[in-house]
Amino acid sequence: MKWISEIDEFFYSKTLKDTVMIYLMIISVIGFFFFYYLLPAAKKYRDNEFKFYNSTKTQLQDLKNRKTVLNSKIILTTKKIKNLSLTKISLKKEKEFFDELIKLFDFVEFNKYKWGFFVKNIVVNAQEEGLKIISFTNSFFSDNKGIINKKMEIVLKGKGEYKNLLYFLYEYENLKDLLKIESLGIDKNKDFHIKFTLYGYER
Amino acid sequence: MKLTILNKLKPSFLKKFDYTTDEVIGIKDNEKFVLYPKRKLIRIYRGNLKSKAILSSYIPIEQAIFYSFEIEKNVIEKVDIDNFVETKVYEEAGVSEIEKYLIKYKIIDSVKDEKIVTIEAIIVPESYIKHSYKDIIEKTGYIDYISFPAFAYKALYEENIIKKANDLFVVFLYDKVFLTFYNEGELLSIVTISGGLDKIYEALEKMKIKNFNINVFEKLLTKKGVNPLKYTNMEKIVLNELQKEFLSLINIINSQIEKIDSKYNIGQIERIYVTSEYGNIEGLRDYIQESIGIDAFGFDFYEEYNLDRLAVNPFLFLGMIEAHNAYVKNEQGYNFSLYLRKPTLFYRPSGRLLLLVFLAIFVFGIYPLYLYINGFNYHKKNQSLQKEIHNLIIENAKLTQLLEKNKKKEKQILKENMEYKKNISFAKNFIKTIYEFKYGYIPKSLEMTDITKVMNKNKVYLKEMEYENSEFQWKVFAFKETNIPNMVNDLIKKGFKIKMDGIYFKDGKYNSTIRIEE
Repeated sequence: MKWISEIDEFFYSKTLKDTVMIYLMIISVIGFFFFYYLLPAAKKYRDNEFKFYNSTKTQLQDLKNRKTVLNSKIILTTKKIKNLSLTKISLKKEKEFFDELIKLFDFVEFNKYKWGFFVKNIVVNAQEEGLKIISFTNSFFSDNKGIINKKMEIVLKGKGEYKNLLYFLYEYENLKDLLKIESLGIDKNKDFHIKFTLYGYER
Repeated sequence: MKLTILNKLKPSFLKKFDYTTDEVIGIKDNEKFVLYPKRKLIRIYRGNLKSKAILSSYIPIEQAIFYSFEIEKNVIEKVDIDNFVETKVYEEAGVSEIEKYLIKYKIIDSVKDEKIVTIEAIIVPESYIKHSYKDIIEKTGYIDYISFPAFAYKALYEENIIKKANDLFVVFLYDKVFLTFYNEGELLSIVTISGGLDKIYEALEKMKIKNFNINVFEKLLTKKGVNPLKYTNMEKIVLNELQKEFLSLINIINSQIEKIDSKYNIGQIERIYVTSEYGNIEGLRDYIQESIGIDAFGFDFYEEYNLDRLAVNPFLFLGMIEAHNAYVKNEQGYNFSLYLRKPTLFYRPSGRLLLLVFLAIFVFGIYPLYLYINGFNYHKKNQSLQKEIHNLIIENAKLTQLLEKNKKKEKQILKENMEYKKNISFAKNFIKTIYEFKYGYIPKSLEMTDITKVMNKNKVYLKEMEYENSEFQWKVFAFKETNIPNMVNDLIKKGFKIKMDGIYFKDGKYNSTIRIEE
């Protein structure tokens, strides 16, 4: 290589002192370059990476902790879900049972047509029992506070035998419907009055 | 010895010179041979000239100027012999003062007069070296050894090709005869005789031989020479002429031998080695032996090496042998090369500079490098951690999503359960309410029937009945004073809660108002 030969020729023409001086200069230049430029840059690079490494490590640890917490929570919630699901199955069965049971109480359910029919029949039934209806009133109420939230008051006034009245009352009180006799009365003239209250439930 | 072994074990870049003495390449014009001294083998060389093998060539005898002179021993001790010889050459050898010469000389201390020594100098123009080996130098940049035959003969003894004796090496050139005397393996004297084969050529030319020219002359010498067996009777005249001319030259040579015998303190010349610039001349050895009475041989020194029966130039072989010997013994005194192989890189200033730069870079750079590697290591770790973080973020996101899903599901199930509970609670409450309603209510017809039955039993008659606010009020009458109390008694017995104001008698009847609480 030509440049190598040129370097050889250059140094062959120099004295030992000159050669040493040149060597020292080259070393100084290299040293300056390394200590002034490369060393700070390398140090800065290393420090930055180290700092970043520490923060990354902390971040990683946090994430690992969070993962552990999440896993624990998931296990817990899964367990809870399992238990709740079991409870749900049990409750569902219970509900189904009660639903079936409630179906037996369908007569309690408010039905305006049924109640209308009830009102319509009451005079007919009284006559069939040998009672004479002189007056008839009914009034409807809604009450949202309780389960039985519908009621209809029927006031009957009429004339008839005590025995017939008793049969009439018995006939109505023997119905499945929620019926109460709030007041009644019969005097020596066979004038009677009855105050029925029919109760019902509307969802 | 130890150093030699250590030197051999060194890797080539640590050796000062990267060559091997086990192979010597000899090159002259188109001839290229390689000599393997240990294996005593010479082969045609077809490889790259630039190699580890020693690269050698030789200077043809005719290209050199010979000059010898005597000098008193005490003078040698007082002068710088190199300068002295150089001055002497430029002053007395008839060389051009404006040209630069390479001068190699040998001091011979075998003269009978013990006060003097002779100096045999070989002078070669530098321009010849520069010009003649230009092609080789261009290819390789170096030529390890350029020998001159007069000095190269010594290698024949050193390499044990011939035994040490008093020898004369004769080379017939066209215009001169070149004599080199060796005494027990050491150069003794170099003599040139003006007029060589040209005299024989001229003599034959006078014979008007048909188509005779220098080529025919060369063939004549090498094929037939002075061997009578090679000539027909018709050709004997040519043989006689040749023998006559050669005898004339041999006589001159013999006179030189006598001069040497008289001048130097040596024994008789024992062997003559003879050749010509065209190669060995047929029958000349025998002719010289017959004429002078000294054993004569050709220049076939390479015969033992020449398994391939190659036509080897004897001077090239001599040069290869000398180059090998010189490099093995590290004797470069008779090397005419101006372009020696350069030392390996680290033995040159450029190499030292490179080494210094690398060392400085290494020394100054080791700490920054350490910091950088350390930083890079952290960088790699960071990359790995970042990857891990990235994966963890994804995992955590998935887990969070799963947790949220679970929570939602939990909430949903809780809600459903609440709904179920609510429904169940409602149902229970509903049933309870209905039950309480249904069974908490005592049918008035039943109560009235029960009361009526008791009244009938006790002959108590109803006048008026009222029911309001969970209380019956029965206005009754009877015809006996005991009937009403009996009825009350029976009602109490049946569990009725009775209140009564009393019984009063009016119009023949016992009257009373009975209050029955539910």
